[in-house]
Amino acid sequence: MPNVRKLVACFALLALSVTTALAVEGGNPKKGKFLYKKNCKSCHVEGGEGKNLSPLNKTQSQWNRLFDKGTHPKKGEVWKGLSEQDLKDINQYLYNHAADSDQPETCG
Amino acid sequence: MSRLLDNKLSRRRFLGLSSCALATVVVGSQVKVLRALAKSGEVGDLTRLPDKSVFTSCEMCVNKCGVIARVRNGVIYKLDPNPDYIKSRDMLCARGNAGIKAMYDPDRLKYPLIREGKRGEGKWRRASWEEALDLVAKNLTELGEKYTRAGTMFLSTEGFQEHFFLMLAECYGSPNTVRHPTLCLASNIQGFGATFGTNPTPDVLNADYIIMSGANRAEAFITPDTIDLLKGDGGRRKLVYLDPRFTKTSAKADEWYPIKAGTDMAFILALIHVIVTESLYDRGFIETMTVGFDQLAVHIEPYTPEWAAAECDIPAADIRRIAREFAAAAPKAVYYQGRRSSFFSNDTQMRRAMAILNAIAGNWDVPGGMIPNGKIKLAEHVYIAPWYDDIPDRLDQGSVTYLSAKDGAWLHFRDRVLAAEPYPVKGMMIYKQNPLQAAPNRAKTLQMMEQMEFICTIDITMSDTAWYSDVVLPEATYLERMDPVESLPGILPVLSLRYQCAEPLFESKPNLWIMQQIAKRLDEEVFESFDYTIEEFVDHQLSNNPAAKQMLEEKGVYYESPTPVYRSSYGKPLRTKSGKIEIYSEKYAENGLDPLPVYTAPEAPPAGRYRLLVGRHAYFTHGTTQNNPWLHDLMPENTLWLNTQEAKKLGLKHGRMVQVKSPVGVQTLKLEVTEKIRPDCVYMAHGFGVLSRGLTNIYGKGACDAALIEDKACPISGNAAMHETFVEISPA
Repeated sequence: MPNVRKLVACFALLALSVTTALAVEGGNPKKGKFLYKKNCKSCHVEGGEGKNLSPLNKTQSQWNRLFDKGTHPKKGEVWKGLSEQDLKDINQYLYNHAADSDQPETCG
Repeated sequence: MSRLLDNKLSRRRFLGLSSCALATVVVGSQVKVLRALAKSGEVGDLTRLPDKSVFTSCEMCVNKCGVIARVRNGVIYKLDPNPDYIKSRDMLCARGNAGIKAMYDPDRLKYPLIREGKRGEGKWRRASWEEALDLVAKNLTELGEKYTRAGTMFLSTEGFQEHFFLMLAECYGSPNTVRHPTLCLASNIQGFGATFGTNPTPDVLNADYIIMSGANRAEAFITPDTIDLLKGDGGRRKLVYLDPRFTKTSAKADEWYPIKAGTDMAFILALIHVIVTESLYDRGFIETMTVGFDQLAVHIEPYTPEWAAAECDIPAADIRRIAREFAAAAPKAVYYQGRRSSFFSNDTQMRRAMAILNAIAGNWDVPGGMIPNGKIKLAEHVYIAPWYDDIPDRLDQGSVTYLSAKDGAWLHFRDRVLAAEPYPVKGMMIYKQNPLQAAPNRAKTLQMMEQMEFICTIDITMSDTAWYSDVVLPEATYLERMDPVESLPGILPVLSLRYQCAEPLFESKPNLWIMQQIAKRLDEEVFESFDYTIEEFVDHQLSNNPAAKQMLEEKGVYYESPTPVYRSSYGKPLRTKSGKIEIYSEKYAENGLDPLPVYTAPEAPPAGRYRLLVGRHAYFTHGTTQNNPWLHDLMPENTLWLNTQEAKKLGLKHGRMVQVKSPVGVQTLKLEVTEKIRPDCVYMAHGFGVLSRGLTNIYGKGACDAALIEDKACPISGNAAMHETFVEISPA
């Protein structure tokens, strides 16, 4: 039965990892980081078209409120190319690393 | 494996419009003055003057103090402190001076090496860079195909070029970066972070009352704190110091208490008890800036000074007096949290107690108090790592309550590698980290390395970890390379920039070059994020701040204010859920943790055994500088400190060899019989008893504490607990 044990262990780990921070059901934070950099950071950088952004700019509830509206606050059309899942992923990444998130500061 | 990458950041976009490279900056004025004085006869011998002086910052420890390298005929002959570098207060310590010997060290790594014999046997073959890099890329590709890209772990530690190593991990596709914080101050960051939303810096220079426990600031240097500890004294400062050992900080303190190891929290809770029950706290501050004081008042009732005295071996009358003195000096009073690694597995909660004591003293963000760190902004380096669909989560996901996605939890990670759960990790890429010296239970680390299919280490010397690798790549030392600008946060935030002081010796190369070469061999899309020179990278970092660029060129440092800026956090929400200082942590309660620190007495040493203590030494940085020729002269080997009475009981004489045995290892070293340690503890300096014969000055000298320390850790932060090991001493 080693394979079953392995599977149970995997599910247990998965359960732990998703319960630590859940903004929206089904959001993949790793994918969200990739999509955020690819889509958001093209404008949201210093000297860019949008204001420079980082997950730390807002609290978890502020990020959730922003995504709950379903459209980009300033330029509605820019989110049109993103699927509902993409937006969930980005929301999850920003939520997990928000100013009041559980993600600890680091050293060096 | 499918990939998505259709909107790359182009090299041109990253670099921006202004990409004129920074020229190497030399400090000319001082030389001119000296030449003029020489002409007038006021100074002699012109041939002794430098022909070039270059700004850099020290890399002999983590502090990054300001340095001016004096160069003659391309050779660095002296390192001086940079008087304008406010963080290090015109000081360069013994290790900083010995930086020259890091570069001109016969033991340094000179060429790429490929292992020929068994791991650890020391049989190496000199290889060309081409061959060594091809081998690294081939292994990374094959490991990725066999185990997914999460099957390779990337170990590193802080340093100005670590950014490129972490980028390689991300672009390659491994989530498994395992950095140093859980062998360092992760519990400190966690405990203070849960309270203040950040880990603040104590304003040592302006504090009138400082309590330090375990942070041995006179030997474990932190700049500017070490300097300010003496500089700010002037007769008004009181330093109370708690340590089971009589250290150099004990010698500089007004009061030293040889506290029973592991009982610091009892002492702190008793201080809080006195301050709360005698209403010595800052009521106005507590009402406006904190949450949870009422719960604290109830929680603290049983923690009386009399109770703490029995736990800590510190008289109740002294605890009461210290609490009153601390409160009277507040807000210019700090309980200094230090930067030391955790000693016990309850370290996060002990740090919470420290933070709460500071909070009720109302010392937040005011002169002489706890100051949230300032940081100077640099233009962000935005890069897009390729996306890989099949990569699982971090191996150590869910292993501790608060896991850092960037740092991981070192000991938990190692356990999961050994169990191959939830998936196998078979590759190791290592930059600057030396886990065979740094991580408790060396035998277990060796076991983890034995099951690896490939290990590559990038370093400047043949560390123990390099010695057990398959490929060793020689990095240029900090004096031989230009580094990215680093924004050093703190009470005096600065921008620091290392200019190249001399050409790299032998075939050593800067880490950026090494990363570029590996990236190029892996994939064009991976390389896209590395396609620039270091000068272009620095130019981009400073592109929004021309004043910084100018000051760095002229002074070797950039700062916005030469003195601390206070109260900048007032009127803004803190980075906690409530936006206030959280004395009672709702977040901890929700996660099943104690919302207020609860004391548990440490296990007492069993009969015939001693608690093994670790500690810092002013000559050494972790396990890295013991082999440096100049520093080695100052302390050629470590010894085991044992209290005089205990040595008498055991019939062991000063200077004889003894065997030290713990549940995980045995080591042999010379005995130092001394009054400077409690009878229930023994101590040895870190970084000796090496495995690598490539460290010729220290091979065969002293003992390795990592071989003795058991692997226990804080379940909240994952930080390794270094003081929970008991050892037996016998004649060797």
